[in-house]
Amino acid sequence: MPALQPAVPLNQHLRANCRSTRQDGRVQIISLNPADTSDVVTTLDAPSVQDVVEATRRAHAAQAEWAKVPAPARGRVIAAVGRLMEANKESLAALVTREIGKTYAEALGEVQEVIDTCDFFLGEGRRLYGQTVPSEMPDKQLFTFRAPVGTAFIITAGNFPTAVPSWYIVPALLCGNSVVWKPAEVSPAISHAMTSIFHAGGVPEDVLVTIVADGATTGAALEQVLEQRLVQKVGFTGSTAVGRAIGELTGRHLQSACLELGGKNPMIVMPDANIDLVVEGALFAGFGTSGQRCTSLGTLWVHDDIYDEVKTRYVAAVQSAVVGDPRQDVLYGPMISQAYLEAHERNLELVQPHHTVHGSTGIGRITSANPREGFVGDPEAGWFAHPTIVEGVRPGDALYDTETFGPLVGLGRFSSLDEAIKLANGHGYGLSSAIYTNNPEWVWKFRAQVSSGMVSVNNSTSGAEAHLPFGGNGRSGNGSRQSGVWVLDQFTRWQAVNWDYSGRLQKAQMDVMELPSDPEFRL
Amino acid sequence: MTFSPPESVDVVVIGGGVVGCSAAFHLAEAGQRVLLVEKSAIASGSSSKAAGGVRACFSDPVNVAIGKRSLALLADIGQRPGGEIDLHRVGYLFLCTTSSQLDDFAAAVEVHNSLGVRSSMIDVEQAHQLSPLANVDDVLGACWSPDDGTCTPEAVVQAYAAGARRCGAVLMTNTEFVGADVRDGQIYSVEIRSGDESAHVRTSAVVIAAGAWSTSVGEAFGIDLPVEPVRREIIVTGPIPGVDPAVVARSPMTIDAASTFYFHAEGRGVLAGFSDSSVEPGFDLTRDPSYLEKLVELAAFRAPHLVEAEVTGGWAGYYEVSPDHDGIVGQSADVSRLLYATGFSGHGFLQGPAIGEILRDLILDCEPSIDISPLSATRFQTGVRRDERHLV
Repeated sequence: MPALQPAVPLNQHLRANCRSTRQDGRVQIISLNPADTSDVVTTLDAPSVQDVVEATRRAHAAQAEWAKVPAPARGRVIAAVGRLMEANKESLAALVTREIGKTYAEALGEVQEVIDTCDFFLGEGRRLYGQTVPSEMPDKQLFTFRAPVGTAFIITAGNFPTAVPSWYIVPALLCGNSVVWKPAEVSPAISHAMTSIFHAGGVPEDVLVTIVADGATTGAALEQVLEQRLVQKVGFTGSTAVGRAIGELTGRHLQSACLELGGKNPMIVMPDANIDLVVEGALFAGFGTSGQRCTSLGTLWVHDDIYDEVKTRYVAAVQSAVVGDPRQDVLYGPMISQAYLEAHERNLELVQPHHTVHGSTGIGRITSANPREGFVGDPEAGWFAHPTIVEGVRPGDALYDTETFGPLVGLGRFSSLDEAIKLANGHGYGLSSAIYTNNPEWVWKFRAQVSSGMVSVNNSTSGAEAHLPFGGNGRSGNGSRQSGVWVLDQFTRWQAVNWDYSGRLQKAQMDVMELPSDPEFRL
Repeated sequence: MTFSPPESVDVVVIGGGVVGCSAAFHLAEAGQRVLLVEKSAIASGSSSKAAGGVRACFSDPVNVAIGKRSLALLADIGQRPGGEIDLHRVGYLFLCTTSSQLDDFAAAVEVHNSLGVRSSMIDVEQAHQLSPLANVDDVLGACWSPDDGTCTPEAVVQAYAAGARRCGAVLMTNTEFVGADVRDGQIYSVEIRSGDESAHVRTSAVVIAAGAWSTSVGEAFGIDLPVEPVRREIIVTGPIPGVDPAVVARSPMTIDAASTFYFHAEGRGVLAGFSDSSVEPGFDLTRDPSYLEKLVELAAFRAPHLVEAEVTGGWAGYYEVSPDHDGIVGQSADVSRLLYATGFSGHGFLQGPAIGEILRDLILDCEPSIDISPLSATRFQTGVRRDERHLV
């Protein structure tokens, strides 16, 4: 069995990411290119709690005017934003690659998802339907309206620095809300570029206010803005632990946050599966984006009958996958930042003696002393990690129910679909799941019994389309859904209106017209 | 043009050569408000008079690391900041004619390889194959560094200048540094002048990147930057009679380690030169008629075909030479946020890209990716001398 400790400890002279205190006492956020840490992408002064509260106050003050803009006109703004995203697609994608190390091909796809989201919601401006509802009284009309919730405070993660924010920001704005966006500290340049595009498309400056802050500052500010009733909706994409804290905080203020949290996404391989498809899907879902998607493959569960073949072919595919410079044709580039690499190295300590490790010539950080065959570029310039398959994962192992968020995939086996469904649900996460089979009976049984919010059939666990509900259950979220028409319920409140023009007080339930019937009638 | 400098910036950069423009670009790109002042025009001093060689094959590890990083930045310049610099990675070939040179370069190769720079010692036949114009009759072996090369110096400076402007930096030409308000070790403002107009710009940080003119700028801040201008000349030839143009175009930067005579492909001919040790320091770019004679004498032995070619151009520029012929880079211990990068003694053009990045890190108070503490100006007080042996 290979050594479990990383072959080389984290390079001590590696540049510390993200923060420095200047001689004049100002704290700076420093964003480095994770594939080449000599490249400082941008710097900015870290805001204080008061700065975040003030930013929120501005957004709150601007909301009422924005809500007065007719929804179709707001839709036109979203249309303009979408066209600008399209016109700036390559430069925005290049910035995504540079600042968080996503491969350029994936970065282009991510920006396309922003464009797709705008395309969907520009039309929603002309719908945003309410209903007319018949009244039980004459000369009275009932209606429902979608009313904006107010000001939304959106906190997003670093792994999808454009697409996931757009899932919140675009519908929130379209519905007439103002937005305070707190992007991840690792992607300030991307957030600045995104925000500039929204403003250039016609979103008033104070209707979308972006402020990059660390977790502690954000948390303290969030308590204040909720207390001061400046925020009516909190959206959060990130870890289950932080999501839980935000859920508690918003709950105290009688709000239900939109929470999109972690996953331990299972892929179930039945005996009739197309193994080529399984290997391809598990390679991309497990190691694409360096495994740093919330929908990344957690554990690959394979039926006993084909276990050996799937394992052999999957291990071979991972061994020969190309890692390196994200601007080149590689499966994956660096970890998003040094902290993500360090978290991955800690997760490698969860490997137990009954596990076997496959996938590369080493584990942990790729260096010249711990090289990866076929690596493209200079591994020591950035934060790159070996792909690791951990074979023999089973319930009771930390790796069974810990989201690892890095290039680490568990591999386990099962003998029946019932057992597979138990394995798929047992860890309490419920974001995405996949089953590979052509047997409709197995497909429908799995769909009905798996607890995840998203189910793939003969497709990997990652890769959401922009107009299908996205979200999870259990440890993956509180049931909120993003994307498509479903997200409208996050950013609007139903307002019920009744209008009585009879000129008298008609009391519901009491003054209802009753027509005679004959209850004794029989044929 | 009206004279309207910004009232206040984060950093003032003094000097519009490769070091200043690279620093301005990297700082502005990282979100700093930058004013660069250049007393003449962008790239009007030493940078664009350079021979254009870019290399990592030095003997000192700090210089190797700086050269390697510069090469990576130059290779990516089309993306950041954008521009075409005609980078040709034709390699560097140092020809050795004594056994002590061989040993010395072999030791350097070990340093190169330990820092991820591909280089190797090669024999005479291999050297001749790589550089067919060179006479290798007396050559014992050579140091070959295939990833080095040449590019157009002025294009590099202009690319960084344009990139800096795009990122919001203000670059003022025909504008000179007059003095600074420094109290209790803090910089408060810098005075600049253009023609008969002058202004004070508030700032807390200054980068001195004034090349051969750095000593007087340093004095204004009470810091000793010992550099002297030394005239260096270059000639450019037309096509070389009797030699296949493709052979000329493929020629690596070929250097006679003993005499510093060098040549590389330039246009349809070559660019050639050597460092004449008899030149006295001083601000004087009058070209010396005897220089060409000495050069022809060296060429007649080392690369006889070149003598047949017509001299189509040439120029003189300054090396800004430090006491130990190596760069002076760092920050003042007495004045907060006063940085300097000068004295590169002939390798400033090729180090400038990475030096600009390092200056940015120092301004941001973020540990530079290369430890440049050995280049500090304090070495001249403590008597430590740099030992870079592979100079041209």
